[in-house]
Amino acid sequence: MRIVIIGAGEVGFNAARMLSAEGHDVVIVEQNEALAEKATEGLDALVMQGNGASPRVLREAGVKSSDLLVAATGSDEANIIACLAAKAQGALRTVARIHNQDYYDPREPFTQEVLGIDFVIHTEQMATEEIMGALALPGAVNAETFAEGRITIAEVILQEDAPVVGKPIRDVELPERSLVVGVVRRGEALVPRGDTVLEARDRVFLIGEKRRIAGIVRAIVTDVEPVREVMILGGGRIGLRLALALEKGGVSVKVVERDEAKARHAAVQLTRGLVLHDEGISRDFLLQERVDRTDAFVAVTGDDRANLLAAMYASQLGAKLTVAGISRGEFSPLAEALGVDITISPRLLAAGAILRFVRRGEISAVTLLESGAQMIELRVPESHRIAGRPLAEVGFPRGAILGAVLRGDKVIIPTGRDSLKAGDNVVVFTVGAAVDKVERIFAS
Amino acid sequence: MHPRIVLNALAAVCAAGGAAMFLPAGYSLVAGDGNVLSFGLPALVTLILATALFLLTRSPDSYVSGRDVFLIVVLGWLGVAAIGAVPFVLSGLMGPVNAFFESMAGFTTTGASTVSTPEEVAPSLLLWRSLTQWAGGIGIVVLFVAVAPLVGFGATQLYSAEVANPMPERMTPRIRESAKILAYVYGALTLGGLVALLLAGMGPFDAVNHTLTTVSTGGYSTRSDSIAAFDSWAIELAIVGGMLLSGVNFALYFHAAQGRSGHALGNREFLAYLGIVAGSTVLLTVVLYASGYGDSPLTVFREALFQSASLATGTAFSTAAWASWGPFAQMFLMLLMAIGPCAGSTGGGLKVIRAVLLARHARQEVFRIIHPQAVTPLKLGNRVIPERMRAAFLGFFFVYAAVLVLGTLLIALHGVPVGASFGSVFACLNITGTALGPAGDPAFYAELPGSAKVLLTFFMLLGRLELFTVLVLLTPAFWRG
Repeated sequence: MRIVIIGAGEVGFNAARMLSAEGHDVVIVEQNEALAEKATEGLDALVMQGNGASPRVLREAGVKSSDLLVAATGSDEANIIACLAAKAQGALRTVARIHNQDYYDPREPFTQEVLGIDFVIHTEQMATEEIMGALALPGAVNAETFAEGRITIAEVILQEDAPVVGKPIRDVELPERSLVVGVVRRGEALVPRGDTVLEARDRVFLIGEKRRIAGIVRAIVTDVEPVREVMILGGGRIGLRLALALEKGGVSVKVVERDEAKARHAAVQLTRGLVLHDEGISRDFLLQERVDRTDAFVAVTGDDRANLLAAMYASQLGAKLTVAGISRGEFSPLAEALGVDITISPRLLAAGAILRFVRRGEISAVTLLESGAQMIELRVPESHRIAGRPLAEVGFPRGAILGAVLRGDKVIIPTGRDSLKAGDNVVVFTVGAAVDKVERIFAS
Repeated sequence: MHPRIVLNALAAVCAAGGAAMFLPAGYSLVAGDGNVLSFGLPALVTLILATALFLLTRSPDSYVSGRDVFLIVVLGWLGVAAIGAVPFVLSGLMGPVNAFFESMAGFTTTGASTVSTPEEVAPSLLLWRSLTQWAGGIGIVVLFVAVAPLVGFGATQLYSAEVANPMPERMTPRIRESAKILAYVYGALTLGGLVALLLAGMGPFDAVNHTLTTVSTGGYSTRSDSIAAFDSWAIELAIVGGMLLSGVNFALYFHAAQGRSGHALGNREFLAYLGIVAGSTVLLTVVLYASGYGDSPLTVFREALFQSASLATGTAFSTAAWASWGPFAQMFLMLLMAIGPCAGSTGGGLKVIRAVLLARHARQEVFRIIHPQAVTPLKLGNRVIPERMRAAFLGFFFVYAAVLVLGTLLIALHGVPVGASFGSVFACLNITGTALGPAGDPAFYAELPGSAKVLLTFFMLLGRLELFTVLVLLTPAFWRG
């Protein structure tokens, strides 16, 4: 597939890297010289320097013969113009990143059609949903659903005092029909085997039916109090959206915003939530506002450093769960070291969304993890060679584990003796390059 | 300032006031109570002079500035009150000071009076008293619902904050249009009230008078015992309904007329207003009955409901001597009077919207002690009150309290006891015409020294025009440049 990407920022760069790794021809257009240079060095792609919204530049980039245009600059207007121009020149499909909801309303697909955009990436909305998902499942730091919402993978962090710490996985007693599909230890993902010994601060991925997942999490996590009080640093696009969603769900929220006008806007929007006008990263302030009593502290300002710093303080001061928004990739390893429980990265969310769009048809869902692991959902094609054979004989790659199967409306957690049938939906946890091998196995 | 335009508008207002006097003149002719000339003469003179002035000051220029509006409003009220006082003097009923007091209490819908026994007053004069209140009522509604939001004053502005300062030229047609609709609403309320009172069994003359003073929440009665004289459930309920409807912001009738009744019914101030009257009725019923007042809960409820509605709207009709109720009930009713009904109604007092916002503001201030960095916009339903308006209503409350205290001081200067001084200022400033203690009694006002009465008419005007409208005329800046 030939793909043109406009903008080599965090989102564009990462999307380009992943897409070229998947074997697509990628052309990336970037106006900023430094970013263009960085892309030339870091990507296996053709890099052009110029304004991606210009029809002339798009023509030079070969949009006419491309299958996909991804507009991922920081400007909504530039992205929209690029999509319009690309459609006019004959690009098959377009994906655009849009920040401003005025341009994009999911309830009005017509606007999208007029703008020539096939798929809108709304990272703020995705980030909000991501955080909401994590907060909605007590004890877990992340929850991803697959198979039409039937199967959930929950990510939990093992505390020092968790009873399973120091035990090999085969001795961990989990409820029926559940499984540990992955472990991320010090930023590295590994596929667990029976003799893998769990350690404190391990991130453990549990799979199971959605309606049972809370019970599965409770089996290995001690603290599963529901979230009742959340403090949000940053009342911008993500922060305010999250605050409104939480408030609707009956959670008490405190929003801290340093810009006075934004703070006022947030205070006007919220009915019960409290808005504080402050920088929010001083210890005194956090203590005064009783961060130690909050169930979750979410730092989603536009500044990665402030987010990390505040989340670290909050974590030290006793906030139960800390979340930090991080847009730049190079900061993400820091989060683990600083004791931040969850990082929310628009970069990963956007890249995941683009990947989902590109692979639509073959793969139903993809979730990328910071550690490089992926959770994917695939469908067993009709009359395929793996159908009917016991899984032990299929020869799964070492870095992959088949977590769950949705057959009809039945969820199965398979063992080596089970076999797949055509039409099954399977959820696979993969590490590193194993994802390609898994995809090859399922390719028709 | 545009003197020609101000004079022109004043001439129109005075002409209307003069023309209105033909009504009681006609009634006097029919009833034969001998006051035809007391009304006819001033009516004719006013009409001729005002028409002449009106024609002389006509100008093609229709530019009206905010300052002109303030001047027209204040001078207009003073002028009409002065003209309206003339028949009282000519008929020999009272002296000029008492007459001006009576007339001002009428046009401001205050309802304070120096007449203890209305039964002894000629019916045409009673009709005129009621008419002054009715005219004052429509005047105030038009002023605060149609004019104030455009010029930028008064509590209705809190609702219509989105009305940006319009082009001055465009103002007049818009006001004319709104005034017309308001007049229809007011007329419909009057007609409805009249029919209800007639059906309830009131005599035609009493029904007309009480309707006129109910929709204007003025409270003048043709009986010295007020509504108690009729002793009828039906009449009381009809009047309670009329008073409550008149205490609603007339802008809401606007919305309802445009098919947005949901919008009008969901109005926060309206809901708070109903809540206050309902809560007060229940509370007073319980407190009074518990203290052994009244024979049955039903009779106590009847009096509590009537008194709550009457005093919360500032009408001050009475069916019971509430002065004999316990101290708690008395003080509570004073509080009701101070709060008053909705902004943009014919009632007085602080207005429910200001009271609600003051309470919220106070709560926010306490809250900010715990959370110093809290951002606390002032909201009313989904509407955000601009910070500028917060300052305005806080300022309003300060001036209100200051006038109450300084006014008491000035009346006390005449040797009037403190309680009575406070009561009289309270009654006039809140447009109720009554208060705890002697200030509820016409004999008290009749005996006040002339200068004290004149001062009280000033407080009526201040209260009626929501303080700032009058006070701005007393600043040098208003007259400069």
